[in-house]
Amino acid sequence: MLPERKSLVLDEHAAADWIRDGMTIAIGGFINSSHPMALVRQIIRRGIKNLTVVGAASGGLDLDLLIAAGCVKRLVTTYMGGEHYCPVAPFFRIAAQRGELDIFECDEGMFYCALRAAAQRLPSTPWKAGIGTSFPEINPEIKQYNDPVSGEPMLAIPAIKPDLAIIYAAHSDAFGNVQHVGTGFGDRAMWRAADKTIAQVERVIPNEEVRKNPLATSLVGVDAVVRAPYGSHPFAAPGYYIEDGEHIREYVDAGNAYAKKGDRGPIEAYLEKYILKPKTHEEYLETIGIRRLVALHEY
Amino acid sequence: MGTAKEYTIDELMVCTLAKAFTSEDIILNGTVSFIPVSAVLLARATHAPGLTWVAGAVGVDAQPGAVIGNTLDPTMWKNCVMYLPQYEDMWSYVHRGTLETFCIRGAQIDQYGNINNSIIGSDYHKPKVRLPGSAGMGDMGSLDKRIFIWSTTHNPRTFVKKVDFRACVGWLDGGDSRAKLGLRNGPQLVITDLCVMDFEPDSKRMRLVSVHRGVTAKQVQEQTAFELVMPASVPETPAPDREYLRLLRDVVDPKAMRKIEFRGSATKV
Repeated sequence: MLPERKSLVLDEHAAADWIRDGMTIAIGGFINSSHPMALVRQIIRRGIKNLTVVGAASGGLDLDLLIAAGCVKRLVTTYMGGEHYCPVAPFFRIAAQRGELDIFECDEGMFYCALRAAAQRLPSTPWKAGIGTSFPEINPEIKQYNDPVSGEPMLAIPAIKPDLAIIYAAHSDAFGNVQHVGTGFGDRAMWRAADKTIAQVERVIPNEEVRKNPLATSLVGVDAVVRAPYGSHPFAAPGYYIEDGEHIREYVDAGNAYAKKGDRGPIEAYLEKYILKPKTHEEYLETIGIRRLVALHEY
Repeated sequence: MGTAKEYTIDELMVCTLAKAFTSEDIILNGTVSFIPVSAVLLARATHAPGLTWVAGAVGVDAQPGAVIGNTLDPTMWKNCVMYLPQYEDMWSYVHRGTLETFCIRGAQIDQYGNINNSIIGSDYHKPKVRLPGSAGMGDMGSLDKRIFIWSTTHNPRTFVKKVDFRACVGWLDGGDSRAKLGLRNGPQLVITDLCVMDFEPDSKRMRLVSVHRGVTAKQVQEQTAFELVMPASVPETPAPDREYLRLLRDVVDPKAMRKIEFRGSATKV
């Protein structure tokens, strides 16, 4: 008999053990879609602090929730909003206005340069865009120089190397062969740059299923797989469910109470109800309720 | 075809922007872009059947049927011919010029079409107002794109003499300053809730082209914090064609999602 291959499947608690105060964590997805929220909620539950969070290009309210819960010290960001639910992420906005948040602001193309540099073990990557903008003026880590070959002005975008990337995908087998539905946004760029990656998935599928459709495989070699059905909630999961607009509005209302009136009551109630009281992802889903969850269907 | 008598400003903005697109255009959209996405779908359903739309910068030639969700929503990728990988391919498509047209709005737009959506105030590290950030517009501005600017808040806070943060390079400091940096193309047209503007070819200053029904050139100037290039006569923005309006209302955006963009606008739609 052949020896058995080692499964990389962890439960959410074991996976969260990998995340420690002060780490640099990249979080996959795109605005209101495909964020590994079961893991994000674990970070908050455990009270992990002083994180450098590398948000997706672009992230959004997933990152704002971490700011609201006091987990973030430094943020790498291209955009912090929630599409038409809210033009500016509320806790991000207030923290930035008070000068409480260390922000590495860049544009999406620059963001991918920074991850590419890390993946390829380069100190920086040249980028033509951003010339003439204010980015290099306010961010001393982005430097303008003249290309030694052509003499053209270029920006050097420094490498950003996450200790850990946490991403959301539709499927993975037990051995970390991941299949997204859709493009997977910038998740692959995060995996390439990061020391380790945890993929939180909707379903763990048999290895034979992956082999039936290798073209759908988007990543191989993630370090751990966490199964969490409806795990991107309240955000969308391509192929599975749409975002929960009602829930997102509840969060935005809590954010606005703080941003406009300085009232932290509603966000504290939100955190208590949805994150601190439920101890597991399953308890979170029970709090949301089966009726709401099954209604999040696009047709 | 005939022009419509009854229309609203959101409808006029979509139809006017649609007319600016051609069958040769390959257009991708960003966040909260109900007006450009509606215009793209409308142009494709009428005079520009060859127009290629890259939905949410992902779904190439997507055919969702109508505006059915957020403009970056995965539901908008329906029936596409390809998912464009954002990391591996998208920015190469942008650099090499395959994706040449982009529509942008921002909290501040200056007289040379430079755009800011990052901060308001003089101290970047402690801004008066923190905005969401530029997403992809900073790269787009420097990468030779033909840029169409739209705004539903034509007022002196949005149309400023100088942006507090230059996230997206328009015509930079005017004249040939953009070209001197080796950047091609640039902002083409500005469509607002009051008027249509372009850029005077030599100075690259913003110039009034037409005013929407019921608006005067004087009112536009009063709502603009810099001096517009003002032609001797300013016509009214042509009313939408009846067929365009029917398609917009019944087929392209039957839920009128585009009206979401008028939150906070002095123009009621």
